[in-house]
Amino acid sequence: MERTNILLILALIIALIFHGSAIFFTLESTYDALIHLFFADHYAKSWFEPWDYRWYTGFTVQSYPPLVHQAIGLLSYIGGLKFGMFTVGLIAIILFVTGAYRFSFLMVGNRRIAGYGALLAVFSSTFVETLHIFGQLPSIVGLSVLMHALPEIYLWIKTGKYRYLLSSLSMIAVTVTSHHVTPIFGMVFFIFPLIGMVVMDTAREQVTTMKQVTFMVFFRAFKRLFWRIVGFGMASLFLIITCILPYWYNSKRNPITQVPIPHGSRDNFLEVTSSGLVFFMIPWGILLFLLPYIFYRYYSKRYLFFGLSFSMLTLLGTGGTTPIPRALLGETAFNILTLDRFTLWATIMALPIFGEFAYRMVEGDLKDKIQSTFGGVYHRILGGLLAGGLLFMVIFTMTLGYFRPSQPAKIKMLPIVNFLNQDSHDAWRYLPLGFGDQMAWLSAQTNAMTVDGNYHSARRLPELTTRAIERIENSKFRGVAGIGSLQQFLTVPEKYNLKYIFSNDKFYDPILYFCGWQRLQQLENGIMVWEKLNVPPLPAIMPKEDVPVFLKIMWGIIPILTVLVAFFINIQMLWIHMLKAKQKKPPSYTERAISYSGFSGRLITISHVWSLVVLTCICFGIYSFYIHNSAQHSPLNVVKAYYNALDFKMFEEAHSLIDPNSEIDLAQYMLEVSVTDGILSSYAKMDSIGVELLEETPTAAKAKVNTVWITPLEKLQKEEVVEMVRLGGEWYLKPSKFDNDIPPDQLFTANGTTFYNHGRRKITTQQTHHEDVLQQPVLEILSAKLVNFEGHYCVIGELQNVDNVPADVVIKATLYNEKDIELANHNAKYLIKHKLMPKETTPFRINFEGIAWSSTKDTLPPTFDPDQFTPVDLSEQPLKFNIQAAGNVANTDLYKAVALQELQLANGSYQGTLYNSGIQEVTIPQLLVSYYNADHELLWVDHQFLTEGVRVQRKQYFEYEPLDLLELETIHSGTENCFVNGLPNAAISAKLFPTRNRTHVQEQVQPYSGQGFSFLKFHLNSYIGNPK
Amino acid sequence: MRLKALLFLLCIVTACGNRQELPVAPILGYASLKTPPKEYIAGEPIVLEFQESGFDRPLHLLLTNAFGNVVLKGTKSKKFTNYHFPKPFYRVAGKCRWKLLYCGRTIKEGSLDIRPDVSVQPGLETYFGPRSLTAGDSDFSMLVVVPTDQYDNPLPDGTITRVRAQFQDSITEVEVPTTDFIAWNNILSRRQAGRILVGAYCQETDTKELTTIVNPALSEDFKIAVERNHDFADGNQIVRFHSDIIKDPYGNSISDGTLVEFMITDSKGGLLKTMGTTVNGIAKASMLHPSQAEDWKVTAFITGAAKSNTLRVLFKPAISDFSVNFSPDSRHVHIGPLQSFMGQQVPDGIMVRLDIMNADGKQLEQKRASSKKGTTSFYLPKTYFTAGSYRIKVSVAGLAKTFQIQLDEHEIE
Repeated sequence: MERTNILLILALIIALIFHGSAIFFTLESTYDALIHLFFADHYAKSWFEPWDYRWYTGFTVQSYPPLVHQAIGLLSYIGGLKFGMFTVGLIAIILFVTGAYRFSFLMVGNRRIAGYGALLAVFSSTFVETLHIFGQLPSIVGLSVLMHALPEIYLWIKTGKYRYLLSSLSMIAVTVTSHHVTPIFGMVFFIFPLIGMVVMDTAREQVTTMKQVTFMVFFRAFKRLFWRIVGFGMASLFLIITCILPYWYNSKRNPITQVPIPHGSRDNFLEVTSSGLVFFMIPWGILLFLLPYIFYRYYSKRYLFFGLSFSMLTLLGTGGTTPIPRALLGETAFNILTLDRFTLWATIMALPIFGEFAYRMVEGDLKDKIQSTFGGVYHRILGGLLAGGLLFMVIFTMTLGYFRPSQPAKIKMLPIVNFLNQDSHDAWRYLPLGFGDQMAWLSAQTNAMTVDGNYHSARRLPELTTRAIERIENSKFRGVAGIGSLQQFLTVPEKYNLKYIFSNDKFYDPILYFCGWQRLQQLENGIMVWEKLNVPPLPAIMPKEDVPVFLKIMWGIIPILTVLVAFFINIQMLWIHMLKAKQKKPPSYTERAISYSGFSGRLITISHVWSLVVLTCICFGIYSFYIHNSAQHSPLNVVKAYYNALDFKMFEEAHSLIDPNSEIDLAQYMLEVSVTDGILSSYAKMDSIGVELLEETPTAAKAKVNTVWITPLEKLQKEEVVEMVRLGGEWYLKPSKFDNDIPPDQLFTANGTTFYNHGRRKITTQQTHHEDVLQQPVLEILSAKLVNFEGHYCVIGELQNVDNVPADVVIKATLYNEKDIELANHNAKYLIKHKLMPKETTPFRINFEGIAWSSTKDTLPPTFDPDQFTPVDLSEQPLKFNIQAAGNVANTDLYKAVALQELQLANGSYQGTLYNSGIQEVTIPQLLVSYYNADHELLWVDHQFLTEGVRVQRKQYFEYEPLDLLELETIHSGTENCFVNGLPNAAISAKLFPTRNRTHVQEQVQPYSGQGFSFLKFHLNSYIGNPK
Repeated sequence: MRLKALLFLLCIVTACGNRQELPVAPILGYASLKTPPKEYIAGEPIVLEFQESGFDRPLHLLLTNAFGNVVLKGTKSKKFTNYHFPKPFYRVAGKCRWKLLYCGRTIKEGSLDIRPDVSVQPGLETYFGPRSLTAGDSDFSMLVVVPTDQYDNPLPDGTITRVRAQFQDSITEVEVPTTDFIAWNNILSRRQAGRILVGAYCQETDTKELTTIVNPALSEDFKIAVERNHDFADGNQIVRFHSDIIKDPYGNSISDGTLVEFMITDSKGGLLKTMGTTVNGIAKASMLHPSQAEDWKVTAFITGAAKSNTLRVLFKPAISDFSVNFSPDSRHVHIGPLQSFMGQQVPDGIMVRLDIMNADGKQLEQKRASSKKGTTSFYLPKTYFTAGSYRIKVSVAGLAKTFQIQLDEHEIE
């Protein structure tokens, strides 16, 4: 019997203490862990049914190998889902460390070195990142088990004993059921070189020295082992196919035909330095300095195939930095695969050699060599530096999530779960916004359904698959595609039975408001609930894609079975062997262990030179980072830093960049900056900044700043000229002027009517009592037209709330061709006032939007443009239309106290002022402009958002340039096919407004001799960001 | 119960189905109904007795009423076979048909009438709607009452129900007999806005209180007035418009929250507007005083329904003159002090506009600034305004002054 390996035990203990305790603080805020938790919850609730309705209007969990999920699901029966996740996490840690040990042992054939390998595996930054930042549990489990399988595969091919075939296949099966990509690429990058190594070792046995292994010797050995290799290959191929057959079946049936989602691992790491850090610097870590040694060892004859594989992995892991990976993988594979996995495998593959290096450095020939060449102190310093570097990388990686959180702060889900459970709120779909990956945890805790989801390969709605976004939830980070996708869900929520939105990010508030949503309540965890009226609940029976029963049974049974079988074969048999107390021969790969003597002096030199190069690169990187980001180093920097500070609302920092001689103290600055509310200052994210230096002297400079801001509603461009001064070597910005307007009243009063709706007066678990259902307010459509303007078909018109209560308006138009066949339908989005007081009128325009970029061939626009509008692709000319309007009692967002003042025409455009006479601060004022012809018939409706808000008793200037409507073509006009609350519009008109005075409209329009129109009318709509 | 019956029916169908292959045998047996004909009352158990003889298989009784079908097995006593009706069949009033079956073939059939049970206190089903009305003479809500017995069977036609309606001080009562099981009454709207409470009763049973609201009708034309502190166009004070109490043709003040739009035509033909919602029939809206002399014509609308008189509001200029000073290099333009109508400083925020034109009068740029402590200044940087001669126009509160300036290459600090 051999002595227990102290280093391995040490590695396991440290791993469990360090990683085991750290996962409780990191795993839940990783990218992937909560997704796996959601899947686990699915299995815990319905083990054999693969269909889950909760995401993407239904998807199948057979789109991801189930082992880890099912394991968490099983364990959740004992202590809940999170208990299951952490237990599986701990198992993964143990598997990884022991796997790294066995893989190292296989490679170097020396237990002590393998022990070093295991110890280094614990501290490898790639493992830390994969576990604590990415949370890729299935990937870790799959890879670890693969590493366990490698020695068995070696022994099978080498010795031909069926015991080894059995044990290796049992572990391949576990790998397959835990992660699908690992065994497939593992075959190529780990098992192929391993086979090469076995053949090499067999060839080596035929001759006396390694030098004598020629190609012919190698080829003969290969021929001898050929059938074992083929046998193993075929058997593992069979396992890969059968163990997750339902997965392949599903992939075949629902091929991933999605627009590729941008991933940082495909970036050019030199350009996008953040991606370079996360996908290159961190995983490689200290190994970067040892690359010459690793290459030197892997290109020795025995490891030649590993050398090739390692080089390939390293290269592919560099993503878009060089064009080579793209050329090697081909365009499609390059865009589908996340390339960080190649770096992961490369760094894992480097572990045995790293272990060997450490051994030689600590107690081997390298130590002697360095001590004899440079002296003992240098050796200690070098060792200290390497160890310190290793620890630094670990700590840096662990704390990355703390200093640069990748997720929003942890959200308490209980209030949301309770909200969904009460009052049948789960009869509708919901949508979380700004939740990050925590949305998966919310989904796992409720039975309510969402249109969104967090496993993008399983997306089914074309609204999602045609966009390069992973979730709608974080659409603001996905530019035009993201907001565009979100808009479709917000404008036509009826289609998805989407009624509730949980907003954790006020960025989305304006788009919600202007799409006709209203705030319902703020939950105790600070999440704002928005609701949409007039959305039907989910039907009781919903469609699903069913799969044959045998697939469901396979999916439910095989994964856990593979674990049991692997456990029985590998652990049980080990015990039996031990009990038999037969003297066990050491495995045959130990024969190939080499003795370490005489470390190459040249390699030491090369390594030193290489380290120097790497250090220089790092220092240069840090220096250039400093130069570009040190705020007051140059006039350009100070401008960028100032705008960045404004973008992130860091007013104190912004103030520190203001010219100290301008005598604006922080309090004054805060007052002036923070009082300006509006879409630009409250809801915009800076997209790009262009600074053009107009003039620069040693002490002063002037620059034109072009900023582009993304807002939820539209893209805004702002051009400003700023001045800078240099004081004591530092550059500062000169403050800009503010509006000095002061309102006349310090305190004033306002009276108004407010409304309250009880909802259910009588508490009941049944449907709402008849008396508690409010009568729908009646609307009247005053005019409606189908027009064609600039190639787009639109339905425009005017409607009025003719009831005595405020109404929320939902209006949907459908286009028909001459044979009355429906062509398209859509709802009104921004171009309407969704909330109307009694007798208030609003113009409306309904654009018919298609699903943007529905054919993936269309090129995606390279830059952000939230206004991006994809007109529906109409196969035929629409000739008729139908309008269905629905009113529901509204009691919020009824602010009307904005007046239009000082309107004057200058240079063909209207300049005017909005004045806020009420007591709420208007965050985003919207101008709706309707155009009329000489007969006072409505022609067109346009709109404009004002970039700044209107504070109470203050003014805001605007400028509006009327359009040229000469090309406008009216196709059909009339309200005969208009319905309100399901009743014909004409009947409503006759009953409620029999004596309508049509001249009022004529008296409320502004004459303007424009291109193709004669009158204009301005309507005002105001969004209040913070209602008081 | 229902499930059992269904299963049983299924068994029979399958059992008889098997026999279809055999030739149809003539019916040899004989059955006759022995129960005397009688009018049944809902809730009273029903048993049909048949005398059966000569059948080699048991007979079944198929019952059909308004709720559905059921197949019954008989229980044999000495002479007769008894068929006991299940509860849902003897509690539902109306016609109940029966068929005696022998392997799916009808031996005998008939029907019985079950009358609702009028002996106990009835229940009342009601529906009342719409829940709101427009004041006047034409609109109405309908109250529908269905008196039922304890088993929810509608009582016979002609059952008297009484409908009472309360509005303000008056309570009316009408007697409505049921026709086709329902009693209905139209509650006409009133000319005054308010709330009509309705209730109905039948024998000793009464309904809960039901409500419909009479909303005011469309408004009539109304009058508006203006209220302001002074009539100077200082661009700072607030001018308030309000309507009188806007009423419908019946004298009700219109619904709270009704939107009234005040449209203002200014002296340049610009159409301004401000809005207000009514409280107790009065709409109020406000605007800032203009910053230059104005002649406003104000008309308010409740679009489509009513319109106000047109009010003329005149504003006198608050600033009569202002001074403009230049720095030695003419690149700094100081405007002010700006003095208001009593010679006091204008309130902060008066907009000052500077139009810069080249020597030919072509507009180059427009700058705006708001006044602070009665003054403001502009700066013409040499980056944009190279040396040369320019024409500038300073406009404040409807007054304008034009200057010709010469800019040099060098700035004088």
